Amino acid sequence: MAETKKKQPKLSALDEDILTLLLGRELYGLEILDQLNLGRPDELMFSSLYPALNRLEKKGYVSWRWGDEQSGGARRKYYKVNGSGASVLREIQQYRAALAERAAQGYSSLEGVEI
Amino acid sequence: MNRLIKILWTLELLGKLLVTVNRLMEKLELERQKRFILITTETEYVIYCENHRMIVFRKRVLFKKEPIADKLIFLLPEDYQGELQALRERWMKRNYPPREIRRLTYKHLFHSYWGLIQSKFENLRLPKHNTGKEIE
Repeated sequence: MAETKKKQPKLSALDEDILTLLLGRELYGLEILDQLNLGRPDELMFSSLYPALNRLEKKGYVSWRWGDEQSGGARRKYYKVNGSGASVLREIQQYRAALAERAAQGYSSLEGVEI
Repeated sequence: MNRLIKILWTLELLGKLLVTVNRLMEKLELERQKRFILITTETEYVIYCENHRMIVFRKRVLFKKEPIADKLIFLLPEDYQGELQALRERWMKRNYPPREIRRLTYKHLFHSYWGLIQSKFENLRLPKHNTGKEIE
């Protein structure tokens, strides 16, 4: 019987960064951008952040609530990772860790593996 | 003479624009809102309104490329406006001169606009080739 392959969740590097950042806390767009841009070689702009947040929301990995800004008038959205977002992130991180381990072991680990 | 014609032409355009904006405000029931941004390529201007004071930007200053569609009017979502407000407060706290704040606002508006367009395209449900079924 053929083994059914588990579908790998699709996450871009930016999506993964955002999920990592939002794990266990709530942030709004500007705070997310500030954190992401710390030590980043290429500056990330709102034009990339907004579609990424929108994408993560559509996939059901993040949820948001309206802020209660009193002074400004316009409110902000505060994002946080929900259960499925956290589990997807964990899966990806485990995969990356395993990949790094295989790479560290070198090609010898590929012996006996059907290609 | 050329300069005078240019000024008159600009004034006429601005007049038309204000009429358009007032109509839009009525239509979208925006009169009660203190702060909003209308982005339109129809009039070739970007309009940012704050406390009923309108700041009009020349679109050409902001967008170097051709507009992607005619008669495209976006009301910038509230959360985007909230982010802009947070940024402007930060710039004011840092004592940036008004001219610099305006320049940074242009830049931010451009990025917000571009982010909004991308999100709208990503949310489009395109038909599958030859099947007519929608792609999830």
